[in-house]
Amino acid sequence: MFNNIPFLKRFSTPLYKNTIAFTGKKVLLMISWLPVAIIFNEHVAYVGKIEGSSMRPTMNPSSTSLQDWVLLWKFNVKDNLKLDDVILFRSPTNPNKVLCKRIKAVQGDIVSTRHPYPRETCAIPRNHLWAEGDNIHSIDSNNFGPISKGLVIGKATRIIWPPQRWGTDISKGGRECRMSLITREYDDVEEVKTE
Amino acid sequence: MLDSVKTFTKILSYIIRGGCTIHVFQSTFIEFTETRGESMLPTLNSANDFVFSDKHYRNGRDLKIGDCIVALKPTDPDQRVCKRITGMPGDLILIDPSLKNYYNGNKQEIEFEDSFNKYIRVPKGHVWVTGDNLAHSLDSRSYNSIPLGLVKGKIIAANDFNKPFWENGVIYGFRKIENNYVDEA
Amino acid sequence: MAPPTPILSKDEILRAYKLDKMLKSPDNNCTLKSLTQFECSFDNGLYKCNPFKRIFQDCILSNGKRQVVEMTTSETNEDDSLIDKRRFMDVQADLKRIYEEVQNGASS
Repeated sequence: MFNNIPFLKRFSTPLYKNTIAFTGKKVLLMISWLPVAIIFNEHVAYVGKIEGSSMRPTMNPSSTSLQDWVLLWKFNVKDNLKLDDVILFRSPTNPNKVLCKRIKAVQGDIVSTRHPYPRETCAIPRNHLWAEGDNIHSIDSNNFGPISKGLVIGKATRIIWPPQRWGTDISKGGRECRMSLITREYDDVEEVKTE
Repeated sequence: MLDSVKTFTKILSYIIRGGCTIHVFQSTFIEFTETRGESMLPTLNSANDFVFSDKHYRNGRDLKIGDCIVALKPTDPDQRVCKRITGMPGDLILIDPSLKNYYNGNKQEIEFEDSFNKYIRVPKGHVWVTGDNLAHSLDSRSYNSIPLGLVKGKIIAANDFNKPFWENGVIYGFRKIENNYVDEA
Repeated sequence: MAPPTPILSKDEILRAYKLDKMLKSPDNNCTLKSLTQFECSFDNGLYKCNPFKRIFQDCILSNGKRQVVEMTTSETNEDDSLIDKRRFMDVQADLKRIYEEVQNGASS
């Protein structure tokens, strides 16, 4: 075909044919690695952008500064969710939305809730978490109750953008909401406080 | 020596790429997985029934009341359950109309206390699920409605390996799992 | 776990969601729908399943929103011709007794 149209005759030369074949092969090779990249993003690690002010001052410290990007660690995270971890999870009220909050209580704990939760306390069921934003104004477990671990997508381990926020410690924040550590009625409060 | 290392890495890379492609296909499109348990009788058999789970419907996309779904169990997210949706967000439904109280002894009468008087409104972003075998199913009647984020797919068909390879024109008891929310005459 | 959901009686939902008005108004296209599930018991090595029908009113309100209300009553499944209720209740009582025995055996 290329030989008939004079203008396109140059594309029939061996140089062009080889270049096209070469590029084609390289593109196919890259495509064949795409599922591996997808699996890595789904199950090992990904990058997430934090939007909103519910984790202030730990993340997005002011509305004028750049939004934080975090390294989202997914590998083996479901069994290692601990108190004070910052997690990203699917919102129970809107499955297309991903929220970023901090774990403030785990299964078995009794939590002293904040407005607008309809009850004073809440017992966390098996394999559920109580997630609160570091900021007082946040939509979190005080609105939708404890969340199942099955909704957790991953753990935010460190801030990777903007560069001046590298190395920020995000491991502490939020209020203490577990009844056993708030009230002074327990005899062994000294023992508990040293942890 | 270098050649065998080269071949080894080549084969390894093929295996990795092939395995990942299959995994991505299974989590994006359709997964063929085994079910166990009596909670979905008679729709699904109690053992050796394999279902086709369509992943387009994960996280509740395009789901309707009456669909059968595969979801993570809220109290044990390592386990998956197959249930039917009997309440979409905002619906006003009875918690358990099949709950019967009966007298022991001679007068074996069936009494429904207030099974027909206990309603809830399914919260936003959640669905109420029940197994088709209401007598033998642990579902929303015990653990409340589940968030749509736990829904992993819709069951569109099933193969029953208890049936013979070829019977009545189908292979291994293949049948489509239908939505049974229909007009009432 | 879902957010704390209150359990309401029929009167309470009729009042709170103004259902009388909604169901009677012809502007809302209300269709009657049913969903049939089952109650199965294990009898002589086989499963015996009795259908259990649930009825819903599916309304599209004038503002475009959809409201589904369950209308199942004790009359919905009263057709006894297909069901051997007594046998079913016997099997249920047996299952309950066996379950309790297992529980007591496990805890003792």
